[in-house]
Amino acid sequence: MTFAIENDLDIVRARASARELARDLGLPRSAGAVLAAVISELSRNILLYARHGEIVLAGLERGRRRGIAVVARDHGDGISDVTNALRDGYSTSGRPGLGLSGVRRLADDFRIQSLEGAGTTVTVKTWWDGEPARA
Amino acid sequence: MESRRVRDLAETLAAALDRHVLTGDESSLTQAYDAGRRAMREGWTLLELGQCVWRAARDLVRPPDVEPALAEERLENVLLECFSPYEMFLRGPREASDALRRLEERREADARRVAQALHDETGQLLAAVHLAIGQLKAHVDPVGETYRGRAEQGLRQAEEEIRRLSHELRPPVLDDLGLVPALHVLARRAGQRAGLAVTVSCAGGDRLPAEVENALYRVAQEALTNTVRHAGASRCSIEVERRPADVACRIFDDGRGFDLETHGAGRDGLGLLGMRERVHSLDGTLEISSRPGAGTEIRVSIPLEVQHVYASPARG
Repeated sequence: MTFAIENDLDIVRARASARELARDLGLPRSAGAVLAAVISELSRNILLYARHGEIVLAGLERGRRRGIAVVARDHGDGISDVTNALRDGYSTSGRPGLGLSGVRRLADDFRIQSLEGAGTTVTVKTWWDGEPARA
Repeated sequence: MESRRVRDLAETLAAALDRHVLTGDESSLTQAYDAGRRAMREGWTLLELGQCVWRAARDLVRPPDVEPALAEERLENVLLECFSPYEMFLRGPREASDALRRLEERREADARRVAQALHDETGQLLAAVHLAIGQLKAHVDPVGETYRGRAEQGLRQAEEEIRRLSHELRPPVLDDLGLVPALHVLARRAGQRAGLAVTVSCAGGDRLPAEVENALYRVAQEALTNTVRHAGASRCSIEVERRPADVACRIFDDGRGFDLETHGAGRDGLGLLGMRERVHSLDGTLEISSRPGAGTEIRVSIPLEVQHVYASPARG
């Protein structure tokens, strides 16, 4: 599923779909909240730094585990110092723990690719264990 | 904390709560998330936020035409939303198997580094010694030549041994070409060294994730070492099969086998424990069957990540 991110309404739409996807995969309800938070933070970055971009969602499966991948892609200016951008308290959030560093903490697998002048792609994978939860 | 800003935030939260319980819409959840985010930025403690949310929930206007169970579910959604910025901040590293996996990664990186240094640095030194011994040839009498010849032969053996050790530590072919070519090299070397016929077969090509390739290679290496040391086998086979959701590997020999009761579960004389741990850290399974006189078979399966891409909903 691909969502163009150009305004706040697009963020709401992507969040709702992620929640639905989590439910369809039988993930616990807190998974929906985690995914929504990831999408909110990544989309906020897209709107702030690149003005527009996209969010892609995919379901994941590995053995008994189920998960969801969130990919945030933009063609903005890119991040000149990725290490610094991942540091707590960097950027606009003004408080430690939010933004990219927060997303990284919520993720089981976090990847960021950024090329100055060519844009940024963040890939986040979150996994949940075992038996599908009924929520 | 009864400043105007605080009241403002509390009102936003209460409004989002009322609306979400009534309609179940996503934008009021987004508002709840943003409120939690703002609370965190403005330095509210988790207790203050919790108090504020509790008050909103207590004063919630319970709409008569929403089923109580549904209203509760929606209330829970709002709670999760406004707390999730805090979760983002507080969450520590996930699960222990993750740590185990990272440890394996580091171990492989170390092995790679040592193997490389062993190969490169001793290689250069030995090459210089080779040269010097070669040059000696013109300057010694026949008796000296006998000793020179012996020294040269010993040097060659030392080189071969270092190459073997370096390769055993971490074969470069595993990084460069992947699991199956690395297994072929492993099989050929074991065959040459121990006079064992080792065959490798593979179904469904493609590289696997590095941690899966590493794990399967190490299991095969350990199994082959066991076969050479203890089994007295004449043939051994390694089969790798990549399936849609996992990769399976079967290693079996026609050797004398062993009693699982005495060598199995608890003891680690055969490195079985290490193999098992490694496979488990990747959510995989490892089974061994062996009986005295009936060979040994090891079956490993490691799940692979499968992605499901769904169509996007129509844009409304």
